[in-house]
Amino acid sequence: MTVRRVPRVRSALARLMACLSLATVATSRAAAQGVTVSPPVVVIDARTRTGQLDLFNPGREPVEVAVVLRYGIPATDSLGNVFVPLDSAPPANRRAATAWVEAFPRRTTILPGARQTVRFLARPPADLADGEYSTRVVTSSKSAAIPLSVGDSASGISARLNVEVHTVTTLLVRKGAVQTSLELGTPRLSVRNDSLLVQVRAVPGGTAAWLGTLRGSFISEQGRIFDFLERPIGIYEAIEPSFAIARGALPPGRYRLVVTGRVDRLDVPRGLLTPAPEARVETVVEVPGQP
Amino acid sequence: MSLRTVLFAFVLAARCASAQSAAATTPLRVNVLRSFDAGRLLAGVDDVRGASDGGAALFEVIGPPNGVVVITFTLPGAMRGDAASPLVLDFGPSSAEVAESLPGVGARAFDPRQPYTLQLPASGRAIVALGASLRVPRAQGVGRYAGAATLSVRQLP
Repeated sequence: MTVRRVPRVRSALARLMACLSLATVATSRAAAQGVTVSPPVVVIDARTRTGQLDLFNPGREPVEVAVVLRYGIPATDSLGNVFVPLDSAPPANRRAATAWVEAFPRRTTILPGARQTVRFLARPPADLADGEYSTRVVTSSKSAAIPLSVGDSASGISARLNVEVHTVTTLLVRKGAVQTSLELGTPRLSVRNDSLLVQVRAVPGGTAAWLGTLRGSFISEQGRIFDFLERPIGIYEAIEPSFAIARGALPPGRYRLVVTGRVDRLDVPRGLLTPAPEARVETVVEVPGQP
Repeated sequence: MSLRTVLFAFVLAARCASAQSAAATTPLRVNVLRSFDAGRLLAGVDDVRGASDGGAALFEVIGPPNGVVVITFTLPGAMRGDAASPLVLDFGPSSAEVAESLPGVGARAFDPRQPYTLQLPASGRAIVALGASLRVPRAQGVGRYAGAATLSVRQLP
């Protein structure tokens, strides 16, 4: 059995151009830096009730930072596009921590090269059921303003568009024992323009979000494996994401389409993940040729 | 098993653990690399500035290698200024681009009016560009105009 990755077009010339272009841009970088936010996921134990986020200003200008909490979980539209709508008032039936977690400080100015710790205090209701509760931490940096110059003559038209950068990370509060699981539906294959789309329904179970990685492969009748998907994802409620593959990357023919979900993430420490059995589905699909 | 093999295995395991640890603690950061500059405008002449054009705004998103972020712009429809009539801004299906290096080099266009899911490359770094169309009628008043927009980068989970 041979294993092959779906090929990506990367010419040496493109890489060279990229390096040259980045070097050019780097000279103007210091003018407007954002803040660094870490870690991407803060987990608070309901017994200790505290957590923290570290902000760092690597730029040359002071940055005004505001930290607010919003509720938001990944959702998908009918085409399988993933988005994360943010609400200040979460729906009543969700495991939301937004209303009872506070951030200190909520506003601050970070000097160039300085760090700031933002501490979180969770005050969960006394009758809160065991489980995992989530909120998003929106860190806004106001110095990240870009001028939109439109004309520079004294008699002309000039304008300025200030862009505020929001960096949105995750805060989880866990109370008691939490469990999670993942159920995958049969993947569906469709053609859209010059892409093949694989869409799969993913339904979490238990009292915690399923944080893991979805992987997918096409296996030809000759046993060749074409890996097309490795997507870290958090599943808080049923979603049906889609994943695109360039049509030319896969020869036409009959394939077994396999999608798996495992609790492993490169971007989240293993100790913060809630374990769950691997989910796996497969089906047989016919990949059409190019029109 | 020789001592050499054991040492090699130990070093390899340490490197793998170190790489995973580094990825797990990679902070999320958004830098504004370059401002949008449409150059000189003439009243009565609309200006279309694509994401690959020189004047587009450039942002750098740095996060965990292969991590997924959702990019959302909140964009103004117009900018207001000294003159009575606002300066109208338009954004279309390909007003934004994302690339591993710079737009134009393996770039993918996207609609900045819609959320865009981006899987960061193995380098953990991507460049996002934003262009715009400016409607400048003949009667557009001379002066300074200002508007506000938001770039939101939401990391999954």
